[in-house]
Order: sequence, then structure tokens, then C-alpha cells
Amino acid sequence: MKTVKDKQILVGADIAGVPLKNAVVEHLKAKGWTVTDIGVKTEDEENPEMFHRIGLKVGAKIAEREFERALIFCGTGMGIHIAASKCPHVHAAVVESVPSALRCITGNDCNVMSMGAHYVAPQTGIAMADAFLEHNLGDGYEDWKNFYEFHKLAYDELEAFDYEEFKKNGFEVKKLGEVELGPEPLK
Amino acid sequence: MKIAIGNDHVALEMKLKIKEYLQEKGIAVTDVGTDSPERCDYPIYGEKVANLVAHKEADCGILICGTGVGISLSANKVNGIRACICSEPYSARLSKQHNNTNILAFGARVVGIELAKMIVDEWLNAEYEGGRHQNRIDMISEIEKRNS
Repeated sequence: MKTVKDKQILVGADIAGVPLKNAVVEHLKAKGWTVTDIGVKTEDEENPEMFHRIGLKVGAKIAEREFERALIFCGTGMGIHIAASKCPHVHAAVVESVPSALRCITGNDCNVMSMGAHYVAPQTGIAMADAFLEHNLGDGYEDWKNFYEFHKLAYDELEAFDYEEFKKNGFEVKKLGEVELGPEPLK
Repeated sequence: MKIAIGNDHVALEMKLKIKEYLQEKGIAVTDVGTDSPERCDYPIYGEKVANLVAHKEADCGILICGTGVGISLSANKVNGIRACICSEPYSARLSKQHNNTNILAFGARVVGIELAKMIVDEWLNAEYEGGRHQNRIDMISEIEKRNS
């Protein structure tokens, strides 16, 4: 698997997401990242693929464990994110700010982050990509009792989730444990 | 309607797109610059737009820099100006409805162009509600007088 630790990242954008994607990719390459781009490359590409198909392709590479994390882009970030989320093992977020980009990894251990070129300026997108790639689950929450365990439990149960089994089980989630989240520490 | 628009070098591209967007809607735009990508100082353009609005040579103003902070701080130093940075449409609308803002600012490094257009639309279409809000705006004017 191509990992974040090895500075490997997968990206994909539709035609609307290209300007933001290219700004982020240029920034990451300058920082020594190896970027694999499986979406629309440039704004003048002929017959650019539709957003959801690119999302499905990115999601598949995460599902197949080829890449640890991916960055995806469209006009709003929403459509391509919905598509990627259809693939197993994808935990994707659509974000518009640096705090939410940071939180999607530190709180939800997301492995795919999506942004919208219509809403997010390139420099902010770059800061968001850095926040996403430079952190892991629980970072910054070390003082919050059970923050990590609580969110890890949710992640694990989502990983184990099978809809048909869930349905057969009367729509009751098969729990893998119980964690009581402690109170938020005062800052 | 006449809108004065100003920017620093960081926001040139966004200014040009917003200006085109306004002109397509039939709005007259007075562009104080900058129109050069060379490094320049935002207070110059903040003050120019502020003076046009304060002297009623423009109905309102739009200012754009990297974040919108510096250029709006500059404009707000001019008496009679209520400039507000809005990064999303809701606060843009409320700033007009409640605070009767006469200059809107935002950052080319922060908001994407489509969101910027939405912020502009929401602000231009909103109407000042007056009523209880006028008392507080008068109080702001009093602060200006006490510190002139």
C-alpha cells in the first residue's frame, strides 16, 4: 500500500475541480510528495470524465488498499465524495475549512478528503490538504479521556458493517464494544 | 446602482471576475485598482473605495485582498464606513440587514469564486431593516465623533 508516511497520495478531480486540484498537487509535489492523479488532468482536457465515475475509481483504489489516503475534488466536493463513499473501506469527508479538514482525520480517521473548487480558494485548499495529510486519529485530543477509543470504535464498527447482515439482525448494529467518552477538557 | 471596487495584487484575478459578474448584471462599477500583479499596499485601495462610498460617489463598495482583513481594516478607518468581511453568504446578508454595511470584503485566498459571487449576491439583495438597529449604528457614529 502506498502510504502517507512514504509521501504517496492518490488524487482525482472532475473538470470543475481541476484548478483547486492542480494548486494542491503543485504544492504537494514541491514538498516531495509522489502524486498519482487518476482524474481529469487539465482544464482543456477533451471529453473529461464525469465526477462520480472518478469518485468510484478513487474509492476503488482505497478499497483495494493500493493507497492509504486520497484527495478528491469537484465543483462542490459533494458529488465526487458520494461516489467514493460507495466503495468499501472508504471513510470520506467533504470539508470547506482548515478546522474541518483537520477534524476529519483527527476525529473520524477519514482516508478520503473532498473539496469544492467553487467554494474553496487554492491557498485555503493547500492549507486543508496539509492539515489532512500531516495528522492522524486522536492528534490534539490526547487530554480528552477516551476520545481516541470512542472514535476508533465507530470506525471499526463501520469497517465491519454489512448491510444485509444488519438487515437480518433487525437493523441492530453488531457492537464491537462500548466506550464512554469523557468530558471535553477545558482549554 | 454604482459599486466601487478595489483590491490588492493578491486579489487581482478575483476582482476582475467579480467586476465582470457585476457588469453582466447591469451594475456600474468604479474600479479603483490595482490592476497590476506587482506587489502593492492594500490600505491605498481600501481608502480609495471608502472615500467614494463616504462621499456618496458610489452606493456601496467591494474590497478584496488575501483574506479581506487588511483592506477592510483600512476602509473602516474612514468615517461613515461600515465594512465587513464575509466568508459565507449568511453573515453577508445579516451584515446588510442589521448593520447596514456599506462595504463588503472577502479574501481571494479564502473563498472560491462561485462562493464569492454568492456572497456578493446575498449582500446586494439584502435590505437594511432599520428599526432597533439604527440606534446601534448611531452609537457607532458617536464613537467616530468622539475619536475624530
